[in-house]
Amino acid sequence: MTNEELVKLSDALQKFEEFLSPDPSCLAPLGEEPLSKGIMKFFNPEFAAVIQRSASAYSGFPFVVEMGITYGGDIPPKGIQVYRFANRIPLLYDEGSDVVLKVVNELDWTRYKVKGETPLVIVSHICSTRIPYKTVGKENVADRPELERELKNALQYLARKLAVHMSRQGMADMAKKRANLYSKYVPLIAQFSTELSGKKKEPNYTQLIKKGSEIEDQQI
Amino acid sequence: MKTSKSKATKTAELRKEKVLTLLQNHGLIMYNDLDQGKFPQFSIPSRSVSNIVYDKKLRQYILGNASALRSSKNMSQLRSFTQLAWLAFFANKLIREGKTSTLRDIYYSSQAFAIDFEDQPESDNIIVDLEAILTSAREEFHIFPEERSSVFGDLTIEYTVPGYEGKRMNLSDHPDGYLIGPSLSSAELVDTSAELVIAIEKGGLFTRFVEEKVHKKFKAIIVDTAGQAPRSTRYFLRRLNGELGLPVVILVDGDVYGEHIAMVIKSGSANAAHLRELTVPDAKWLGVWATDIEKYKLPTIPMTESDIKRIYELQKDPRYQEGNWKMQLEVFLKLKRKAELEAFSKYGLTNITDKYLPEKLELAKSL
Repeated sequence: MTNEELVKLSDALQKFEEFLSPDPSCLAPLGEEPLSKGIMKFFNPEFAAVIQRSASAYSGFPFVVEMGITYGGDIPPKGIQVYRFANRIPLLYDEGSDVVLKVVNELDWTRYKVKGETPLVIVSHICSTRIPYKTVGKENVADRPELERELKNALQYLARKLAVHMSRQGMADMAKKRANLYSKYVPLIAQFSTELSGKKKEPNYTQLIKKGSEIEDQQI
Repeated sequence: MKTSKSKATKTAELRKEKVLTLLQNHGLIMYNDLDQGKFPQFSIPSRSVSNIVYDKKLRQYILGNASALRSSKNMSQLRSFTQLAWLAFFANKLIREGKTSTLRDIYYSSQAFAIDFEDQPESDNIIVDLEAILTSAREEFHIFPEERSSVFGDLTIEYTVPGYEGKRMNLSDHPDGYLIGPSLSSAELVDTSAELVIAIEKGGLFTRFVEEKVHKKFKAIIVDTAGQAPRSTRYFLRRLNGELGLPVVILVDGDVYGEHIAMVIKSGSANAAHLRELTVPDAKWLGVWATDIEKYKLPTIPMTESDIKRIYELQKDPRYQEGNWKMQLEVFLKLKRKAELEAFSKYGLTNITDKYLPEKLELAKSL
């Protein structure tokens, strides 16, 4: 074959989508349950979710991405912290140039109701027969498109779960705030209106405080 | 003059009763709503630009029909609703106890009731809201701004404020003039020999007029508006005009701002479109007109950018669409120069009172 023909063949093979996923039985991922248990034990969080993606491959090497997200509890409110693992080994250095960090930073977190210094931890585990390290130090993983896509899908799935939790919590906070406001202001209004109207006794406003605290469908 | 006195007392009392009744009615509505487990609410006439219209019949700006609802059902309005209810409560107290307060005072008084205003603009806004709801000026519920304008002339008044009831005073007793404050605003206008009211923009000229005995020569009451006339001053001018039947003439600097000061005395400001009875529709602007600058060969200073911008703005105002008002604006725009009242001093300190004023007063008769 000529060089040109070789290039053509390589391109065609890469575009072909019906190859079966590589056999992941050679890999040893953590599994969702142990990951979740670990997170719960370590952070004692308000909310946690984990996912194990199905196996995928880059350049013929199979890999599995596992990820967990966790919020609140013992986590200090220092913004998003990332714990990286590769083949069950923690990666400690050179965090900034890692593909996981890149994916986390590219996500528009405000869409998932995460703002400011949130107590949020992301745990990521990449499991592969050959982790694409960038350097010989084996501390940061390269941004291979296949790997990046899997990480992104995992993170988006978890962030959606977090957003549901956040909005539920937001509503609970709102209800509390509303109850506080009504029990602060309604008695004052009652006091002023009693004086203005020249009545002797204050109106019975307990009903209204209750009503005000229960209104669901209002926006601020 | 006896009839006017009893009339003045009557109107003062009627006004007080009217405001108190209004406040009580609003209190009752709130009270009943609360008692029945309904969320009380106020309907506040909208003060946005689109809702301010000029009423040719009333000859002033008024608010249109648009209004906004402030409801205690809406959580984001609950706080301002409570502030409004508090202000109504506080105003009621002020009126009943015969006490007065200032805008700044209101801001601090609120803190005793855990009604937190973030800053004074916020409390000022609530005051305007209450004015709009009751269509009564804040002065009617005893909240006054800082006063700086004054009045001088042969006018006997009788105080109605607590501690001074029945005490009489002649406003020509003190040559610096009397402050147009809360007690003067509520006093009865008993008697006067004056036949004219001269409102003048500047304190310096006011003093000159007193020194030159303008009040005697022209049988006039002199009012210093100290720039743009405060509302209490406009209200006082209206009373002089309405209750004593005195014509009001206005002397201001020969520039676009002066012209507008005269216009505001005559027909009110868009800012106070929610209020009535702050205008003197028959007041006459004596000068300094743009045409006077050439006629009297007054020393001038050039207009600034903002002066000229202001002319273009006023040319869009419906009140400047005809007659002398329109014509003078055009001359100002052509001259691009302005002259202050003091400019007459070039021809001697008394030139303005000896020559300009009599000529203008003569001219005013035909206006």
